Amino acid sequence: MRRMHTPPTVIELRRYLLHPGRRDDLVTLFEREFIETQEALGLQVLGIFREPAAPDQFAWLRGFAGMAERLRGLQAFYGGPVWQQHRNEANATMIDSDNVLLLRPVTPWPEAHAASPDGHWHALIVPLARPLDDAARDTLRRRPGLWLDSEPSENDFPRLPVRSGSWVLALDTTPPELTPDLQAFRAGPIERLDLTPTRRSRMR
Amino acid sequence: MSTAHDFDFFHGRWTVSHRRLAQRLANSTDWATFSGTCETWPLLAGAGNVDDNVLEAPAGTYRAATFRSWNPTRRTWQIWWLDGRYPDAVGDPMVGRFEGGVGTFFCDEVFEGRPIKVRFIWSRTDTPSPRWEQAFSADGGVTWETNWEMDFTRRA
Repeated sequence: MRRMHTPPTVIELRRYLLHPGRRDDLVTLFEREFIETQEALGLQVLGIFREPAAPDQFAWLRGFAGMAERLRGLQAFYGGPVWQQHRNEANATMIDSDNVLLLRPVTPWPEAHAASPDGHWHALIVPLARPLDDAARDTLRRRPGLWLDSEPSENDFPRLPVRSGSWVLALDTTPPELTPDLQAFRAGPIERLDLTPTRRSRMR
Repeated sequence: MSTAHDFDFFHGRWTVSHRRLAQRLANSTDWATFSGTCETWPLLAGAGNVDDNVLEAPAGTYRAATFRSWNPTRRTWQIWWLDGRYPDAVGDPMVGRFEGGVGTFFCDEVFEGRPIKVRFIWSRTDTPSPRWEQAFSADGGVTWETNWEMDFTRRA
């Protein structure tokens, strides 16, 4: 079935800390119950990953056409029968689900991605002292890989918290480089993630 | 929309982080933190539930229980708290419902000889770490002072 692609203008990076040994359970449940049911409500499951270096970490990217579509979709999903049926099983695998960044793509999000030659995606997460300015965003547009910065809107679905502050996320099939001008905006230690896609992840 | 399944998220066993004001409605900023455990299970084929708590409070560990029942006509929950140190006193129920994922419940009480309103809020119920908080109002609900917070983490 050909999927209609509405490019996401709002993207969440959601990183869950799980109870020891429970990651495969969550991946199985997620891939069985939460992909098509979210997509049907406009919640785009852009990528699903394990962190091979951290056995209790699970990460996924969720995209939205915009903030209004995000609010409608989240209300429909989390107020709906699929979540009611599976929420306890899902939440029982997790210690923490608050590590969420609310972002927007600096470079337009592609409809499809070239598969990673070695099956790994790499993320660079940079905490910022202040939001990027247009000049800094322009510089990132010319860089290889996918770059995102913080979505400026408030999280209007407080049932699911997001982290405060300003952030930059880079994603690529090789470890992204920190640009010199991003150093001027930096407010703390960068984080590098090595990610392996799950079987049904759109990003492979 | 509130339903009889509103507290299904809470079934099971939990570790609790408590944060409690030493004195209520006294402009106190003196918070005590302590731990506890909680176990919740359904009753009445799911239209009710009960939880059993151990509270490792600074003044001494004690036990307490909650009883909740769903009224399908009024579409409200009724919530009673039984403090094991005062085993005869169940009191009037907190009454309320869930909206937008947040549960809010109210009751009129008497505290230190004056009438107050009591409010419970249940939040973060879609996360692995739900939260309960209690507040008192001495001015009929215009202003509220939160005096107790519980953060729940699921135990295996």
